[in-house]
Amino acid sequence: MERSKHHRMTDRVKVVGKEALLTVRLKQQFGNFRLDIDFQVPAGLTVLFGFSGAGKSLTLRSMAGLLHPRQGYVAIGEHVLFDSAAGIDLPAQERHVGYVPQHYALFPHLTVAQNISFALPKQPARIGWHKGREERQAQHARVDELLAALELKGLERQYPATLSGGQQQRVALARALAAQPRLLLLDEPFNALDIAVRQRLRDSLKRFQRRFSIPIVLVTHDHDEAQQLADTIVALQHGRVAQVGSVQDIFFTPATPDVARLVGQQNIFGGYLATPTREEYSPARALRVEWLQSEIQTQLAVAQGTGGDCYWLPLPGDASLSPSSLRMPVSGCIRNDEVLVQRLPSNLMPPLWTARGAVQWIAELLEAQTHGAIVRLLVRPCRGEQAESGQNVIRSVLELYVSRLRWREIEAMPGECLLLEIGPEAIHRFAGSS
Amino acid sequence: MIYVTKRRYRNVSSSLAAPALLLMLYLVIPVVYLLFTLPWYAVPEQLADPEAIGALITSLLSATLATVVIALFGVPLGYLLARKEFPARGLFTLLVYLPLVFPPVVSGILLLLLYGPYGLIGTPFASAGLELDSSFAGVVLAQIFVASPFVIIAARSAFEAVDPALEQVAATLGKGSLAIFWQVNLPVARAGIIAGLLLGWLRALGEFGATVVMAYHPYTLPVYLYVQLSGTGVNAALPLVLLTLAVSFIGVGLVLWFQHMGRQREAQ
Repeated sequence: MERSKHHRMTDRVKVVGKEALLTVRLKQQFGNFRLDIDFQVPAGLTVLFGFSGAGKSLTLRSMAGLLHPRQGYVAIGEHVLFDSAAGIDLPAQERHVGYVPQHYALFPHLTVAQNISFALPKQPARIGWHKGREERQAQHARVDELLAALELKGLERQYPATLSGGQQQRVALARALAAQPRLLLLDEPFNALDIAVRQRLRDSLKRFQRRFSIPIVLVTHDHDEAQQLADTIVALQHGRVAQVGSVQDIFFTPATPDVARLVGQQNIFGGYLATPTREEYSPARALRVEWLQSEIQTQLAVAQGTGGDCYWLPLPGDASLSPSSLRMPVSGCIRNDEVLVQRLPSNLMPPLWTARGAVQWIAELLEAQTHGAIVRLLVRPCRGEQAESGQNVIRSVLELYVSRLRWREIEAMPGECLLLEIGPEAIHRFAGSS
Repeated sequence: MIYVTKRRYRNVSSSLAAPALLLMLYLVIPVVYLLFTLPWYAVPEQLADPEAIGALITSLLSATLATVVIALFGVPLGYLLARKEFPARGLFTLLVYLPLVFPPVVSGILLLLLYGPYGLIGTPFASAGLELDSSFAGVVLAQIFVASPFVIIAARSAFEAVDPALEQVAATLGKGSLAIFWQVNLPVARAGIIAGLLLGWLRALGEFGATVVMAYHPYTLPVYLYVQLSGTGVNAALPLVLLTLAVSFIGVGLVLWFQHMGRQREAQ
C-alpha cells in the first residue's frame, strides 16, 4: 500500500521535480544514542543540519549502506535501497550512492587521474584487444571529461598529498561522479578547508550541483553553509527530525525551541495570551511573557531556572494566533534581528505601546561585539513587572543583532540604557506550541 | 649576569648529548675497530672458501624462502588482527609476540620436539624420507618461527594506519571487499609491510639459536661462523663477519627508508 503510493509519487517527480525524491526512515539504537529519522525531500541540495551528536553522520552513513540500521526505509525515487519490512538491504557496492567523507579519503597511492578512474570498470585484458582499446579510450574520455568539469586539468599526474584542500575536494567529487551515482552524500565537506576559501568553494559546489543536476545530501552544523547551499534543510536534534523546510522556513520560522537555538535564535520565551492593562495604544490582546530565556544567560551565569520578570509582547505578525482564547499558553522567540534598537530619549519616558502595536522595552546594554558588518548586543530588559507568583526577579538577557551602520548612530556604552521597539514582526510563535 | 642566565637556561640537548654519544660510541667502535684489525689480504681467499660460499648461499636461500612463506601467511594474519573483530584476538596478538621474546634456543627446542625424528609431525615425514630437522627444511622452519613476528606486527600496524574511510569510499564506488584489500589496503600499507618483510628477512638471515638446535647442518652463515670461531679462532671468522655486517647495513638502511615512506603516506 505504502509502496504503491510511493511509486505514484515518484512518477510525478519527473514531471514536477518538486515532489519527494528521497525518502529516509531509520530506526536504530547506537549505545545510548537513539536514531529515529523520518523525512522526505525533493531533488536538489538537501542539508542535514544539526549540532554535533545530532545523528547527522549516522544518517548519512546509513544511507550510503555503510551502517545497517535495524529498521527503516531508504529510497531514491523508485530505487529502494533499504526496506527492512521487505527484507531489502542493498550493500554499499550496489546502492550507487556517492560518499565523500570529511577529509575526502582520496587514495594516497593513486594519482588524481587514477583516483577518478578507480570506480570505472577494470579494463579487459588482452583478449579481444580491439574492444579493449575502445573501452580504454572511452574511459580516458570519461576521466578527461570529469577532470575538465571540475577544473582539475593539469593535475592528473599529481598525488593527493600535493593538492590544496579545495583541489582535493574536487577530486573527491569527480571520483564519486565517475561511478555515476544517483545521489551524492557529503559529510561536512568544508570542515577541512580554510575559513577564507569556504564561501567561494560553497558557491562552486552549488554550481557543480546545478551543472550535474545530481541530488546532494550534505551534512553540516554551520549556519552560513546551510543558508548558502540548501534547497531543503532537514533539522536534526537528538537523533530525530525536528523540522524539514526551506532556508526561509527553518531560519525564519523554526518550529521548536531546539530548532530556534540551532539557527541562532536564542531569545526564547514562554507565556500566555492575556489582556493588557489599559494604557495608551495598548491592544486588546497581547502575550504576557512569564519566562524569557536564552543560552546567553547560562553563558553569563545571570539566571538559573525559569523564574523572571513578566513582560508584554505583541501578538505575532503572522496571525497564527486567534486572540480569542485567554490564558492560552504560547512559546516562541523574539527574532534577534527584527528588534528596533534606539537610544533612550533623556527627556521623557516612552509609552509602553506604540501606535503601530509594538511594545517598547527599556534595556541595559551589557555588551556590544562587532562581527564584520553586524554588531551583536547583549541587553537586559529592565522595565518588567514582577511575576504574578511574586517571586523575585531574575532578569533575562536578550541577544540582538544590529548593523554596524545603525550602531554607529546609537553608540551606547555598556551600562547605558537602550530603547527596544519590538513589533509583531519580531515575534515568532513555535508551531509546535499550542 | 648574562653568564648566569646562560648557565641556568642551558639547552636540554647539551646535557643529554653526553650519555647519548657514549652509547653511540659503544655501538659503533667495535665495527670501526674491526675495519682496522681485519687482515684485509686474507679476505678474498677466505671468502672464496667453498664452505663459506655454501653457507652464504644456504643462508640467502633459506632466509628468502622463509620470508616468502611468512609474507603469504603473515600479511593476512596482520590484516585480520588489525581490522577484524573476532574472539581471542587479544590472545592471538599475545601469541604472535611470543617468538620474539623466547630465547632462540628455546624456540629451537620447541621446534625440534614437534618436527624432530620422534616428534608428532617429524615422524611421518622422517619415515617418508624427508627429515625436517638437520635439513634445509629445518633451517627454513626455524627461521619462519623466529622471524614471523616482525612481519605480522609490522603488517598489523601498517594496516591499522590505513584510514577506514578509504575502504568505505571504495565500497560506495562499487568495490567488493577482496578488491578493496588488493587495491586499497595492501598498496596503502605497502611500505610498512615491505619494511617488516625486510626486517624479517634480516632476522632470518642472522638466525642462530633456533637453527643450531633444529638444523646444525646444512651450515647457515651464522652457524658456519660459530664453527669457524670455535674451531680456528676469531681471525678465521673475521671476513665472514665483514660480509654479514655489509648485508645488515644495507638491509637496515632499506628498512628505515621504507618505514619513512610509510610514515609519509600516513601523514597524508
